[in-house]
Amino acid sequence: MFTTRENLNLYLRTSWLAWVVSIITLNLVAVEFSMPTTLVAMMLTIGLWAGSFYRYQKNSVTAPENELNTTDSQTLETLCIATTNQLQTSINHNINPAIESLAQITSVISDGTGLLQSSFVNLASKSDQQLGLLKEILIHLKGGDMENDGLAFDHFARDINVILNNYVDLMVEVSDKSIAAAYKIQDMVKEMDLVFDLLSQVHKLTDQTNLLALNAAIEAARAGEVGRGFSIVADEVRNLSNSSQKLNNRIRNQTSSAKSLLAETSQIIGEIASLDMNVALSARGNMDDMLQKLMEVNQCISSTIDDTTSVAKDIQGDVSHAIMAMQFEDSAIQISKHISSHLQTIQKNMDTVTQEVGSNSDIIDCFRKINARLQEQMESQHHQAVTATSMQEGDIDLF
Amino acid sequence: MNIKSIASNDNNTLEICVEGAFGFNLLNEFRDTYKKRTNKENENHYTNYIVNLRSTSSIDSSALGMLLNMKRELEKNDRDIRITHCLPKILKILIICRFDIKFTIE
Repeated sequence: MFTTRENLNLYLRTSWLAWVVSIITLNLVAVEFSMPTTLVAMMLTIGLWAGSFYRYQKNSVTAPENELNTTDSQTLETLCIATTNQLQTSINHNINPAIESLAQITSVISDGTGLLQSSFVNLASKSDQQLGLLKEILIHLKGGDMENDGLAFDHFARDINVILNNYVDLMVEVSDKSIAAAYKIQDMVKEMDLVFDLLSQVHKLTDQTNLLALNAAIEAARAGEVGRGFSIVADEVRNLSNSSQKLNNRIRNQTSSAKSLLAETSQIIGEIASLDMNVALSARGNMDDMLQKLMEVNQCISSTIDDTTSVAKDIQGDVSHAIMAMQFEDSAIQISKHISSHLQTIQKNMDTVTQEVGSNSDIIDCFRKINARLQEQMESQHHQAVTATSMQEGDIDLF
Repeated sequence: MNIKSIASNDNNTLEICVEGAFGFNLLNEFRDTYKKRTNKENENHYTNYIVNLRSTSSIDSSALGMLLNMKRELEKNDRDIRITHCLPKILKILIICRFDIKFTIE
């Protein structure tokens, strides 16, 4: 209650009457004056104390206001300015880097999402390219026409079949002609054998001729001088038959060698004629297998392309989702901007305070003004937030 | 003998059975069955000829040549040739070589 000497003085000033009356009342009570008088005096005392107390309180409230007019108000002002400057420096020191970081986040996100978007678009187009290449392969296999049921492979297989059949026919014809030739050679051999027979007959004839000539020579010798001419003739005949025999032998030898040549030829023709049929058999058998496998390959390729087509569609879908998901970029940037503006608001408010403190010597007035401006700022911020929300809602609709 | 030739009772049909491997070694034997080594004109006095391959284990292309030559020879007198009792693998070969068109195969 009595924080200062002024308070004490005030108290004494306002309560002196109360004190005086209380002393009189006490004396009266002590002297034992009549009851009504004592009562009146006591009530008067109480009233005066209440009144004085009231006056003291009322006046002591305004006492601090008057205290500012002392030298302490100077110190306070300096202190305020120093404190607010300190606070402003600290705030800027922390908030400026934060705002910079937010700007960095914004640019990093922008660059990142830009790259991602273009990568995804490229991915989708490459996937389509792949599908296109596969379809080209199928077109080549089908021989240029997708609607046509035939495979280029199919025609190829059929052509091979025809070639194989021709080959088989050729082989059979070779066999046919070879066997015919072989028969002819056998016939030739038989003819040769007939020649040998004839040669034997010639041999016999020659032998007989020889014998006859011998007989003739003997007869000529018996005839003596007369038969001398005849014996010369007989000798000549013998010579001729000898020559004939030699010739016969040579013919026999020739014929023999011809016959052995024929035997060799027959052997060779035999080899030509006897081709192993297994080649044709397995080739034709393989053809059927090959055609079957080709059908399967065709099926497989068709179904693979169908699968790839649906995979490509899925890829397109996923890429679209990814690109849509990257719209997070907008939200992130907006949120960054909000944070940034809030931080800037804090800075502005601090500037306001510093300004006012710096330019206003009356501290009480100064803080009133600060209060008012802060209030204004908060109200306008609230108003902005309301309209911003409604705008955002509108944006969401357009989404 | 790898080849047996059996004449039917009425002398109309000649059945030629080939046993074992039907190859080039049977060249002369086979021809001798249907071609008499005489100079007489009516050497092919049978009207039907049957080549029975029941006991034939294998054939090579020389056998095909022999059959074709037989057909050519007998066709001069318009004779009929039937190939009978083929084993499956032999039948396959005959069909690949289109013998089912040239001969009657049973």
